[in-house]
Amino acid sequence: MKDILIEPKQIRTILHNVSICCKFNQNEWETVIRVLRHDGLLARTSFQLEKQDLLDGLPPYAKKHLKNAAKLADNQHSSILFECEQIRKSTNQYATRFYLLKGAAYVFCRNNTSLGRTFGDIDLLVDKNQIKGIESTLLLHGWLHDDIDDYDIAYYRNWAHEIAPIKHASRGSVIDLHHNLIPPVSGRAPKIEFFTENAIECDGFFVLRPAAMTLHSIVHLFFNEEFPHGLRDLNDIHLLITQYNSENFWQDLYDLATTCGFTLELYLACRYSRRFFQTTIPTELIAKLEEKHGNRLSIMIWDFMFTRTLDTKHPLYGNWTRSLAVFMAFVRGHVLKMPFPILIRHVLHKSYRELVRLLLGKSFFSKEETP
Amino acid sequence: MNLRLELSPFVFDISSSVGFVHQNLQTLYPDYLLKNQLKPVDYFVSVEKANGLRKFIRPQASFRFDALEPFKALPLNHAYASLEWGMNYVVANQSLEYVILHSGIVAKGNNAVLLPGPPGSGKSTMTAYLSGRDEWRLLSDEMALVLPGTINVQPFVRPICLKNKSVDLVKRWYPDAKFSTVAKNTHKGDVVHFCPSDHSWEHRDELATVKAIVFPRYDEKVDLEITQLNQNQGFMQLAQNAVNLNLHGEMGFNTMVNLVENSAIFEVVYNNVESVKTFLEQDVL
Repeated sequence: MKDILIEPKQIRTILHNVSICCKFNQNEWETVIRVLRHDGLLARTSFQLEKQDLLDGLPPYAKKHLKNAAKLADNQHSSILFECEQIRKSTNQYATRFYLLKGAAYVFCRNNTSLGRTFGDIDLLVDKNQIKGIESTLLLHGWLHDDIDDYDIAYYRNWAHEIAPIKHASRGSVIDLHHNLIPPVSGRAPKIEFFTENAIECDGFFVLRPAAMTLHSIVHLFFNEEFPHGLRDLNDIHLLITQYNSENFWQDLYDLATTCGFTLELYLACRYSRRFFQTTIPTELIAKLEEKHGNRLSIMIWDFMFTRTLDTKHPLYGNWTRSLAVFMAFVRGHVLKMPFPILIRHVLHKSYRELVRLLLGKSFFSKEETP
Repeated sequence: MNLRLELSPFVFDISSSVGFVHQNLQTLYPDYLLKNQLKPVDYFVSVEKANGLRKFIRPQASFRFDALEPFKALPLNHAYASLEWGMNYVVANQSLEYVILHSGIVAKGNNAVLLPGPPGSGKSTMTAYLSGRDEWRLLSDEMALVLPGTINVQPFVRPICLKNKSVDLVKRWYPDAKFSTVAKNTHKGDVVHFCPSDHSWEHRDELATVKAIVFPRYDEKVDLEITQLNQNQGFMQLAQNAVNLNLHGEMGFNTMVNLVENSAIFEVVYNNVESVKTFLEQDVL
């Protein structure tokens, strides 16, 4: 293995100050491209470079990969627009509002976060009373449930804030249909109207207002057990905050977090966004949040967990402390989400499956797929 | 084992702990491609033994694109073939600097013939045959890398993937050529990779211009049947073989139109590759 030319810190710097890219030599670019691609941030970097007119001055090798990534992201965005149009057509008998969440929402309101943001699924939020009907309608229009086992079906029906993902039979687009933002089984699911209040209409869909959109992004990251795109998701938050930064925004964000009980998540988001990307955040807000959640021992544990779990996931930077941090965050997320008896059941079931995978190979439960 | 393979126009970094993968790479790729250390790596790929008990019982190998595992693990015996297929998959999905057609492509001098066809059409066999004849060379047996907006193709010289009966045919035509170990019972049947001619490797950086599009179809009962296709028919058939046309938008469409407007287009049913070669040399190029 050759020496690591690029430190994780440099990757984080690219994500808030893209102009440092101009200093990389060809060998450094090799690692930068590889790591950014792995973390789903190559297209975003490409757009940020282009926005500052820096892309064309880069070495041809870097330019080639950055431009390709941007093209792929662009194409993904057009297909998202197309898919949403299909969803709208299929469900136009419903008078209810369809809220887009996360990636699709960023694309519809064309904010800075959307530039080069790659994502697979379309996240939709609808009224809980309508969700069954909407699901059946989508099933009639070609979306199908993946082959999942009885345990997972029950998991979604009884405990989750969404139904099991549905996938279009021919086009392969995946929809996650939500009725809340976090699992009701956690006991912390907010009254959804607090979030959907003052939603903004965009081309037949609705997106949450800036503070609600940002808080959802925050809750989605910090009220969770897995962080496959941790760095990108934290960078989303940084970009949202940076773009919407205003007195009203901060007030709304703080009030919403307080009303819905997510001030801890807001605190963690501010803490790590600032640490990773030097995000500008009002000092009074930080002070207020620190007063509530600034227990020194907890902070030590969170810092250990999140500075590692949210950093680049490329195996170049893997080590045992990172694995430990990921495991701790995994346990924390589960404890947050499920009451103890349900958690035990869930853990036993998942461990059994994991054990089988370990013994018989990763693909034991999955269907045939060959190149 | 870890090596850098400088394959024009891409540089691959390949790792594998599977012994015969390394052996095959050394057999099938010329030494001088394995020595370059200067150009930066475009794609990091690997094929490794799968974990768990599957290390010991019916061992499997899985292909990775950097840390990503896009496919299900395959029997260990398919490791080398899955590396070659995986490399195709990576290029097909990532390399948007080209409009990519799923097609064999050979050239006589710099005059190229596209040979698009579904599996079983004899596309690879035909490509393998032509690529070793006098003055002919291989550009690729799997994908034509067309420079957007032009009718020029960048060679992507690689070992040719032969299936089942065609292996014996090619061994008869080219008894001195180098072949990989056999991957038994893959989804394409028994598969062997075959090293193309020195001449093809040496011209791996030389663009060629598409002069003809030939849709081959092997039929043992037909000696030679040639049908000229009009541009509409040619376009529709060629579009079915486009790999990343949707990603190129209008430019991709225009490139295809350009290709069709500037090429002679035929459907050729044959049972003898020699007569196809004669036809191409005398009537097309």
